[in-house]
Amino acid sequence: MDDIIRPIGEPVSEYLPNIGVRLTHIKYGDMRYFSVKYLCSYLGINDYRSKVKSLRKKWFSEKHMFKVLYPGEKGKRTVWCIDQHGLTRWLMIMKTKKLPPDTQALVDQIQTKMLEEINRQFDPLDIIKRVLGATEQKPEDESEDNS
Amino acid sequence: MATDTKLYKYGTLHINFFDVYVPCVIVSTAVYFPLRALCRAMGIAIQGQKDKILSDSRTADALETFPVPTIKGLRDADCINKAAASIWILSIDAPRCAITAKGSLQRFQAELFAASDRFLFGDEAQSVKESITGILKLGECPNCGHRLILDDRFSHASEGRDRRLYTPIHRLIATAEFYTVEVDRVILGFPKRSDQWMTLSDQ
Repeated sequence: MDDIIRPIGEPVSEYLPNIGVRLTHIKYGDMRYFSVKYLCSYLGINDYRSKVKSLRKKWFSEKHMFKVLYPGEKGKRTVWCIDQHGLTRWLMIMKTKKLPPDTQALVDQIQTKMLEEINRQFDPLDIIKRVLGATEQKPEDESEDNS
Repeated sequence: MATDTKLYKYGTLHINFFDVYVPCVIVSTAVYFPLRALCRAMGIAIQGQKDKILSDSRTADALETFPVPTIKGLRDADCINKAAASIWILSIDAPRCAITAKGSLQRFQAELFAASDRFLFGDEAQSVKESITGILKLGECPNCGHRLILDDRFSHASEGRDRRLYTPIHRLIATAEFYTVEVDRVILGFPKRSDQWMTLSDQ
């Protein structure tokens, strides 16, 4: 059996209300697969081929990259897709500096929302105060002492 | 004359998830961890972590220098805000960390990723599923009429010589709600609508 995923359905456009974004994917089982080429054009990343290469190597996405027989205008073609778990990881870890300003703002907003939600669901660094020691007062700017 | 003063409180906090004690600096209501001490406690090599934090726009502003008590008195140290620490820990390449840190780090990342996955796509664990264990006797495929075998990706598959190698023919009905049936330790999913062509008997 080859490693290509062969969904029989058609790609669907789904609105993700929590982040206010509509994305197209194809479902296979209960997993959504997103074309990396499509995501790159959505995010304004020009060279999708090198992005596919890097996503296939990155620790957070390597297990979430698949070849999918994806229906398009010219019939079905094998395209590199990232599954929904991989997309979440990619969005969380993505550095937005190199993105175009409009998509940078969008991804920043998504990342902030996701982080807020995580912090709302549970405090990932749940801490217990053990010892609160001595307090220290320090002048912030001592250079002005002479004035 | 000093124009401004800051009150620093020092203490040790227990991070439950990693079961480690880490010194901290509390400035007003914000909690900061000295980066070196946090890395040491978690078993992460500090090399490159400061650059990683500074290169990420979400964490760059969370790194500040505060005087931290050491055995030689107060020394300035890079400290990371607790609120941003989780996003920094999330971006650490866990497989490349020391074996002592790897497990807990991967577990931590998996929990955070799962939480963000639920936020993005909804909690699919809440969809109605029913687990049945037994021998599955399938009739004919409602799609093509041939003997029906399903592979682990829920496709109608053709049986190979050793009855284990399957080649997918086509996908059956795609719905969100599946019954799951365990056959030969492979979990197979069946749409509810397939009830009429699926029969199940106890082992």
